[in-house]
Amino acid sequence: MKLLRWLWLALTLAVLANGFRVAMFVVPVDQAQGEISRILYYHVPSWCGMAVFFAVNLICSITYLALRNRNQGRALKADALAVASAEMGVVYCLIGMTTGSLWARAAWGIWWTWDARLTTTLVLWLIYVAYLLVRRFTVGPEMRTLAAVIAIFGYLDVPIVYMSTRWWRTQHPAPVFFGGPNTGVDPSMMPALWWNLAGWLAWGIFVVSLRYAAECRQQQADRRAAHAALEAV
Amino acid sequence: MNPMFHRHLILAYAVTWVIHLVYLTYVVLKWRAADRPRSR
Repeated sequence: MKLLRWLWLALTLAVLANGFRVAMFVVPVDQAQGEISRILYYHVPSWCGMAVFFAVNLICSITYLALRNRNQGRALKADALAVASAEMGVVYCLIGMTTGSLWARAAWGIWWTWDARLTTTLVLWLIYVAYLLVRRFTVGPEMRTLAAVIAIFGYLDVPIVYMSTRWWRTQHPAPVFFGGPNTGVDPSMMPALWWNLAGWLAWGIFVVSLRYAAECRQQQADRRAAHAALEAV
Repeated sequence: MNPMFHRHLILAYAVTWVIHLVYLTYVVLKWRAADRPRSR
């Protein structure tokens, strides 16, 4: 397991290094925006990572609620993966907003605007930060159930974020991908996007696997401590 | 070319790595802390 993890990390770093090389030195720049358009290759993978890990969090939260009274071992594993994926999603969301803000300052002349895409994204980030705070500061057996319910409601904002540029007129550009005819980037730019997408998703899987292992260890330590306390009575 | 374009591009890439590495450090610390026996 340890060897597999190191191999995965080595492969991930190799893919990310190549992704950086292709993004910076191989693919051409967007003619309208120039060099700043290269932010796309870190900006879009961050949003994809966020969508993937929040979806994992949703599935694990539902699994936890379904299994918590029937199979506690599996339910706890689902809960451990839920918290690991939520943290990773929050990290990706923060990076997406930060890189987007830097891009906006150069392209639009502003750091932030309260348009539908940016506002719904900020709300999404705050919902998952609240989810993590509830987990951090609530004690007792109901903490995991409460967190799972928040996660399920929180995920409702993900499709709203995705559809916001279709439903409302926004400062943020109209959908670049899957936006219908005459949308999308030039095919010559796609290799940089694919390499960075693969690299950052692999990075996310690596970090989530570590965080999941840490959470499982913590759960075992808590169980041992509870058991020892019961025996001491 | 506007020099701000280069500055913001480099900043965006740097910020991405910094946030990821800070979070990785937090995860590794948590992983090691969970391995340690509890103080009584």
